[in-house]
Amino acid sequence: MVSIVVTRRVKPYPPVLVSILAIVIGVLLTGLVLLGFGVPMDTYFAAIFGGFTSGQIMRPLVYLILIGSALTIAFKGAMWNIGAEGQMIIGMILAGVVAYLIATSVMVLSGNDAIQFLKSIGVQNPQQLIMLAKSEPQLIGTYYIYGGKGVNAIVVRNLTMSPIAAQLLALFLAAIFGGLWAAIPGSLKSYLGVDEVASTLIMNYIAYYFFNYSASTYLLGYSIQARDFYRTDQLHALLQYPQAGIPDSTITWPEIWIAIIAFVAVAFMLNYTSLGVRVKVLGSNPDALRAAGVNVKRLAVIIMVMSGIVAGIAGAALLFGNLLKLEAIKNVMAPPTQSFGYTGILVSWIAMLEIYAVPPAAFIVAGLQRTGRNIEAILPSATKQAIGFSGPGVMMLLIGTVLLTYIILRVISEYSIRIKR
Amino acid sequence: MASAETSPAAPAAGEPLKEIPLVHAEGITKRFPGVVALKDVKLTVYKGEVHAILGENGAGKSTLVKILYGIYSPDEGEIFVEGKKTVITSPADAIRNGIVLVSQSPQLIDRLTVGENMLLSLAKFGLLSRKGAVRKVIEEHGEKVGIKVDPDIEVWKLTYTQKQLAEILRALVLGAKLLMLDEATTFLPLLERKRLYKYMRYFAEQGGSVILITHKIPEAVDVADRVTVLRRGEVVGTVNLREIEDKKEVMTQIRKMMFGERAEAITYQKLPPGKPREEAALKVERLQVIGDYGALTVRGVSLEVKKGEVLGIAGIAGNGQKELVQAIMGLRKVKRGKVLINGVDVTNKGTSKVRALGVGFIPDIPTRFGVSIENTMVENLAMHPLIAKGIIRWGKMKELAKKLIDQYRILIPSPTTPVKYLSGGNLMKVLVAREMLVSKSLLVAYNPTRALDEVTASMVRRLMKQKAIEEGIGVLLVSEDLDEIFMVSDRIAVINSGRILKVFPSDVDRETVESLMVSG
Repeated sequence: MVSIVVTRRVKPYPPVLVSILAIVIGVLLTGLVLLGFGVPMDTYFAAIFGGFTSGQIMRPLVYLILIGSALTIAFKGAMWNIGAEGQMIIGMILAGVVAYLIATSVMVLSGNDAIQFLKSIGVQNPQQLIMLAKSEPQLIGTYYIYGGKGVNAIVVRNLTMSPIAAQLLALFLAAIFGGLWAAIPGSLKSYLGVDEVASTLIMNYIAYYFFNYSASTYLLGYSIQARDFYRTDQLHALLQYPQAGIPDSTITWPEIWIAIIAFVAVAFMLNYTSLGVRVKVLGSNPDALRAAGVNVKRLAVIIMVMSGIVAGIAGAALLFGNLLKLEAIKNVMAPPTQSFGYTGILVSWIAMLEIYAVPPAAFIVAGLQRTGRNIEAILPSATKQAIGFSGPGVMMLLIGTVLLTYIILRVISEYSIRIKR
Repeated sequence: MASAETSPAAPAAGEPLKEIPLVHAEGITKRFPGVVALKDVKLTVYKGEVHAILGENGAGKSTLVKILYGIYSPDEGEIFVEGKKTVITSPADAIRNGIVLVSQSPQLIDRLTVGENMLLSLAKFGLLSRKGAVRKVIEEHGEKVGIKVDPDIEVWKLTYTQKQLAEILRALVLGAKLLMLDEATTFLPLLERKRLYKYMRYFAEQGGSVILITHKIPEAVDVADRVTVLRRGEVVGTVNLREIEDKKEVMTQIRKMMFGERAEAITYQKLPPGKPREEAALKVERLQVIGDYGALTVRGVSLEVKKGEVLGIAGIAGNGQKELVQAIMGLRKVKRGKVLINGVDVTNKGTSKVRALGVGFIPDIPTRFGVSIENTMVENLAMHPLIAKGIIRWGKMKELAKKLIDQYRILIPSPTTPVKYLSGGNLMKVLVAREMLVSKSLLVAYNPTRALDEVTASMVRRLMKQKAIEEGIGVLLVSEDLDEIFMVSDRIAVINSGRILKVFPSDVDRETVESLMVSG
């Protein structure tokens, strides 16, 4: 009699192989689905190629590395931080506080005062500049001029400290408060046993509302556009990060550097410090750690704080590098964080909580995101309506298919099937 | 799954004909990444016999029974059950064939009751069985074995011993023909062990078979009909004990088979006396501790361990030893009383404070409070605050690991192997090695040698004593093994019902201590 024997492999296939196979199969399956909806295969593959090679991949790549690293710390220590989103938002708010309340002063001038002021800083034709400032903020020396309400009204923001110092201060405060924001669910978990999945998720929404409150009250801008949209003025031009000049991308140098430094720091912490070892052991056997004399409750909070610090920094960087203003959230599906706080969870798991796998995993997810958007752009709108794809539908289809394939392959790869006679 | 085919291996010549092989395994080979766990192993278990498998830590005993139980499948080799060639691919398969394994760690589901757990695994109870039916079966079987377990109690409320007894009971209710006990008795108190051995004999007389894995050679020789010795994955030989009168002689022979020339390192001789100093390493004053179920379990214990001496605490398990040790280590809240280490009051100050004073700790459940099995050996060293601080130099950590691997003869492919791949004894060695290393002023050891083979156990005892004599640390040795207590201790305290009844000098006679241990 022949029987099929399924046994668990002592040594499963290398995870890299499984990941690559999952992507290949997932991409092919999505291609078949789209083929059914009339997207030719060659168009599809062109979209994929574009998605992975165009400069547009840079921003999602940078932020997914940042958030993927942040979450890898937490997940390795079995702290299920779903709140990177909120921690990013808090970082953004703090960066906004620095940019609008600490590092710049603001004057609202109208009529003759405005013209007098512009002349005093050496503007030849004040009337023309006022008109220009209505549509586009103008930089004169350290003065940044926006259009104000009324014909001759202007809003002037002036730097009160060096731009570098302001940028560093923003990152610093964003880190501190991102960490503190994460410390709340961390402490609730450690000292009161409140499940951190729920609390971090809830705190994302608290952060969103706090963000809206901030953008429409104490950070509310003085320019016409700001007043109309419940947002801040545009970031002072000298505070904005300088462009890296990568084709098709608006990515800036500081964002790239922040991602690299944060990644290296997290990798070093996890792999070369006693703290890192304890994070790992906390994830697998907290009792042994406690018996060895480690304060595991405090350690759990520290883990959340570290995770929140990196996420907070990411939030600040996003304001200075890309958003350039804080605008009240009207649709929670489209927050200013671009949902990196959630997509980062995916990255961290595709990397299987291995920090060195975070950049490639981020590259894959970023590439798939871009691919999805590329396909959306080429999909005829009639088809989109017919199949009910709206917004990022194709992107989700693609990522979802790859993930599902990945999960199935992961399970299968742990077993071997033999035929026994 | 099984195919009908007659076993080519009839009972070997010389065996009495009436003996029918129940399970016969031949040519069993199993490789793990980096090691060959079993090499061409042959094992025959007859109906009605208690068959002990002995071997040092990591010899392949567990792997062998796990193969018979369908947890692992062998790379090579065949298994015959009652003469029929059988492929066992899962525990369910094994149970259908009447083979049941009870291992060191209970597999019961904590949130269910004992009865519900039984229901889960019993095919003869359908989906619609009433709990009452199970209760009856449990009680019937329990009475026969002398195991008393309340079927309606939730498993998490049971002590380790009770869980383990429930496991064994389940195996019997399952209708086991071959009961395999893989160190299942190791963590049980002596009294329960003895009761179980008695039952094992009864079970064998009724025609059942038992495979017993233990490292307690005297107990194995006492209860078993035959002994098979494994060494580094190979069968060294099988010894028939039935006709042998001189058990001492045969034990020496078995030890030789297990350890080779290293068998000479085994000693049960009293170790040289310690050198007690004036200062106390540990002082416990009128300590009161609440146990898991809310009752006062440590009821006013006072004791003192001087630097340079070993204080042994003798007692039957469950008399407050576990709680006492946990309270000293800061792992359990002290209700009343004081704990002083090196003169520093650490009462309820937490384990970090205790450890910072240079205290080593060998806990009661090594895989829970000792090592983290998902992590590698070096990580298990580096997680310890007394071994690694700040930035870790992995090169140095690996050197340290290698040193310990050599010193304790730990069988591990490399220092970066996750310790879950180690055998129970080698896991314990990793723990003991680490804790000996961090003991700078005090070592609190709870049954430190119970999962170790005799050679390693002798070495650990010697090292404990050596550390006390040469480095002047205090050692609190809590052990159920009275031999161990007498070999190592400078003074012997007897604990009973949460109280220290008396502290004796080490030349007290055994009967006095024993009678106090069991006195009501």
